[in-house]
Amino acid sequence: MPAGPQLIRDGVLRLIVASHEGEISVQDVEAQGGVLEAVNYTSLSYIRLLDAIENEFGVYLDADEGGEALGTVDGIVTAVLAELGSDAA
Amino acid sequence: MILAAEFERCADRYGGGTAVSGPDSCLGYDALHRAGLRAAEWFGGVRAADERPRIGLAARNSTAWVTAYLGILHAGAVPFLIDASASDGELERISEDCSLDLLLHDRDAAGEAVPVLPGLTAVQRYTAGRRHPLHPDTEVCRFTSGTTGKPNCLEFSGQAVRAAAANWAAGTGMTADDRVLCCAGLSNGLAFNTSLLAAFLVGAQLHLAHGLPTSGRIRRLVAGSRATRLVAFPALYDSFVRTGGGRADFASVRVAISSGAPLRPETKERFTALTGVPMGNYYGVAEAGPLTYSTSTAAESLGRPLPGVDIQTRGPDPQDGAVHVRSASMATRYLNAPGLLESRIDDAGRYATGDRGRLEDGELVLTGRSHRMINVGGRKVDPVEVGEAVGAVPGVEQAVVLEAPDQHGEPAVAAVLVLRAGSDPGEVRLRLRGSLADSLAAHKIPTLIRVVDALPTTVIGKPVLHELRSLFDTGTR
Repeated sequence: MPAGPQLIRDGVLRLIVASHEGEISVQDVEAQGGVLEAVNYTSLSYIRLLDAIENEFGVYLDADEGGEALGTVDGIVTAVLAELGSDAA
Repeated sequence: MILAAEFERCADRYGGGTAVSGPDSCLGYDALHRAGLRAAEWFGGVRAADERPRIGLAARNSTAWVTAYLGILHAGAVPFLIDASASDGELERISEDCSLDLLLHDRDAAGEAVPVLPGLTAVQRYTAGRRHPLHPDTEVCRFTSGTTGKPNCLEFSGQAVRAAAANWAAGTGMTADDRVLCCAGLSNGLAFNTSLLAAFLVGAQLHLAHGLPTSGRIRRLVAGSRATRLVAFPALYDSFVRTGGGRADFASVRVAISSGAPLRPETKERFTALTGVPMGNYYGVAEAGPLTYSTSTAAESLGRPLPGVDIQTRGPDPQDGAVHVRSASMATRYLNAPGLLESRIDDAGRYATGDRGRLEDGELVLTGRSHRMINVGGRKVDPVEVGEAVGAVPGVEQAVVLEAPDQHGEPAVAAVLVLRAGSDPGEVRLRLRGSLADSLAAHKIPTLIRVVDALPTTVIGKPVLHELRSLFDTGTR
């Protein structure tokens, strides 16, 4: 994976852990295949995460339009990269 | 049928004006009324155990939701308004407990589901057998999280629902010029009492949103609807403040209304600083409806009683009394817990809220909230209900569920577990989510978990909650 996307992925994982209510690590997320629901991500955690992504990367992700794809690490990273365009690639 | 008649009067009065818009469509008052009557024809044919069919409505905000609600009322049936996030297991329990004849929902249709309105399908639930009788005056049923291990079903008369809406509209100065952007689920008291009939009574426009109320989403919705009033849980305002508001244009908004959970003073102050919009905070309880309203900048005040509301604080300490309320919008009783609501209402008709506070120059200041329930972002969670579900997870011997602060300082659902001999703590933690997903809504599933060898108990065997809470102090895991 090129450096840009890997940095984005690392950043997204960090924000996922920071936005959770307090019980998970990056390893826990990875162990569940990057599925947020599997690590008990609540809607309040998810709101915090989308806010943090907007603050950190300057992109707005619409959870409704993004559908289930935004429920996984891979889906979120793809969406952030798409919003950022080629800058991060 | 007070409510059906009231909605009909609204249609007569406001005709072609816009009544409601949502993610699915936009309807004027006339068109909404006609759509409601068409839906009523369908609901009139529902097979039921008696002359008043009980129809559950568990769906996200949409114009179809409003049409179904009106159709149920016009058909002389009783709508049971259920949180759209309820799990399949919760819907099953509610259906059985309240003897629903039909359940309307917006989930993936399967089996014998029948399409009724765009995005809404129906499943017949009718089963012959004994059921708790509805009060003759009941026109709408809604749910609280209860404190007894199951949601309590509140019965409301048409008069009470109309009074809540009329007093809210009058007490907050709502007019036909208002465009209300409602970001809370219509089954919730915040939306139901402040946005639905209240908006229609004065000829205002109701704009419905669903989905996660993030800051970015709300900015777009406000711009699209040119809303004059924003109605949302504190979580939305927290989100807005966290992102600094972005490029928000809130010029159309005259007031932002928050309730359901305590609004942080710094959120209130910062939101107004970012948008120029004053925040209206109110105090209400599910059993008695909206009770106060305030746009005061004073952080503590929840404002003066709304019309038709009487508030008393009782006890030896005038600064910290038990809050008792009487309103024109009181529920009649709990359908599925006979006698319980009545036991909390005194001879003068005042309901013991469980909260504590004082009246300062006629304005209510709360000094302590009831801890009967855990408040997660405005959604109330019954620790008994969750504790029973967690206790049934394979590998769990005992479970106590309680409120504890998460790493952001917000109330979260926490569980302390004693495991069966030979169970692996790591495996049980992982199993918990999967095991509970069918029986509990996502926001009820504990996110903070501690495993102990034995629960600390009092001499009579009750868990020592303050010791259990200390397990969740920062740094312990």
